[in-house]
Amino acid sequence: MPTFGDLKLSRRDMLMGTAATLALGNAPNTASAQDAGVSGGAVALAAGTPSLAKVSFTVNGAAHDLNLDTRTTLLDALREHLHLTGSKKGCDQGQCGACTVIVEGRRIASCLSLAVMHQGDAITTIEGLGTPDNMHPMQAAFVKHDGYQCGYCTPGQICSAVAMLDEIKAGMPSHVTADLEATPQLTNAELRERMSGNICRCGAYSNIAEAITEVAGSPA
Amino acid sequence: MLSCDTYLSPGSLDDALAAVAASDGRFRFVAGATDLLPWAREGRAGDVHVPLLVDISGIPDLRTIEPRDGRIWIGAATPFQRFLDHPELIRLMPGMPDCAVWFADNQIRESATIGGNLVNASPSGDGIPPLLTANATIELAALRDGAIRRRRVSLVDFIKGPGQTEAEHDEILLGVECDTLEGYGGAFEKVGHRRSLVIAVVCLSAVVRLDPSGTRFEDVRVAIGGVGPVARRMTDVEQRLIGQPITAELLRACLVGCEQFVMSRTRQEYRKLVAPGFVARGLANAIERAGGSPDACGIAKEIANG
Ligand SMILES: Cc1cc2nc3c(=O)[nH]c(=O)nc-3n(C[C@H](O)[C@H](O)[C@H](O)COP(=O)(O)OP(=O)(O)OC[C@H]3O[C@@H](n4cnc5c(N)ncnc54)[C@H](O)[C@@H]3O)c2cc1C
Repeated sequence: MPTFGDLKLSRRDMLMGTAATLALGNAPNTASAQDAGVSGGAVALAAGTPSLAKVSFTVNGAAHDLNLDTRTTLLDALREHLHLTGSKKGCDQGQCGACTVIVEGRRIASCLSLAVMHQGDAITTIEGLGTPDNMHPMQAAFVKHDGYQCGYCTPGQICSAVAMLDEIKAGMPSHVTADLEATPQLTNAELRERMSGNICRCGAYSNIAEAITEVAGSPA
Repeated sequence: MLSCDTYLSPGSLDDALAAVAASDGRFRFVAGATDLLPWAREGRAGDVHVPLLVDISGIPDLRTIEPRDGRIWIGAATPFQRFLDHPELIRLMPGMPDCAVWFADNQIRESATIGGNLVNASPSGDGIPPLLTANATIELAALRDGAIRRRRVSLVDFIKGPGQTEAEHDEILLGVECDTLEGYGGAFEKVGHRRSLVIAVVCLSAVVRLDPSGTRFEDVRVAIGGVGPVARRMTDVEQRLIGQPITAELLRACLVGCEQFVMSRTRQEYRKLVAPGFVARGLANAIERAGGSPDACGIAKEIANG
């Protein structure tokens, strides 16, 4: 049951909604550490028709103007509205990496970002990296090294790996970089740490590491 | 799911505050949304409707990183990943890169902002201990009687309890001003259920400055999080070390009583074991990065290894 300070709403109340929207000002927060801070000032209920908002961004070089329900995450906009179903919904809470896309050159979890937050952004998805006839080197390497089993996490793994190699080139350190100020090398330990936001339940990690290492041009 | 009637991304503080003022309190600020969106999902708050969502990440002051009055200004919309690739931040905030590498994963760090972490005020928010060691001052802005009221609060006073801060509902956290700690060595220790993407059970930030020979503490700042309602500076530990030569005796002595900082309701016993261990390890890592002599580093490592 969602709790907004002292006010408790049952799931049924929430679904049914009422005509008036309830604003709770700076309501006290729930007790759980995880919910700390977020519940203050929350407003309950979703009633009537969804609110639409316009957003324009480019995906894989093509400009799109969308009129979306404001709830739509970037992931859902890509999959349900633009029918780019390569990016996958795994956990839907930013913990598995299957939804990783590249926004303005940086990898993010598209399930935890609202589409409306990306006005004017340039977005790259797995479809934009390469096609079956003209694969990106990272895609080709995943095929060659069998960097998957079921394939569900693969688009996220590949987008993540492509952005990750750029981060290394830019000198960004990771948790296993011994000297946070020195230029990082793509060792196997570095690679695994930097890909730790992409989970593969089939456990194809060894092959994924081989594929990425081949593209990076250094031995594992 | 989180829904809103209007999503605004104002390009100035004036516009943001005006929109808020017109909303009759029915609004929510959003930055990276990495706390807000998971909260408004099934199993937690479920469907949440906010009439107005104000994305503060486009306000120039919140995106600025620059020196100010001998300190460094870090805009609230700075994502954690910048502590790993922004040269000035790396130079002046040695306590942060290590915190960032422990923070979530690359994808989340690119969205998760420092302001969001502070306003969320989780007892185990990883950004809080290193900002405490940097003596961070928070700057807030709100519209009062038609004019912008800016005020400053020390981070210590800003966070009042789990999820509770000094910020009023309509106050925007503009950013934090921090001590510049060039030449300090910084370390961050964290433990959770696994290495990545975890809420800290204990987290600790240590920054130290040594004398030119690398054998004596000139300054020591340590803060611990995850062990009580709010993260805290370990001033007792700091006072015992400042000005002293690095010896095994001194380091051992400063660990005595560290467990008193553990005030959480759960896993007390475990946390009481971890706290002194983290102080020892944080100091050892910070001493090494601060240019400690081989002797000093060796002594600190030995203590850290038990
Ligand atoms: C998978 C995952 C892993 C995570 N790992 C960690 C971790 O390792 N360590 C950790 O500490 N946290 C972690 N978090 C939590 C979260 O990422 C951080 O707390 C983050 O810093 C929140 O910032 P945000 O910009 O995303 O906040 P948002 O979700 O946008 O906002 C959070 C709260 O702050 C308010 N707010 C935001 N900015 C402002 C502002 N400038 N002024 C006023 N109010 C504001 C919002 O209204 C909201 O109440 C994780 C989250 C996820 C989903």
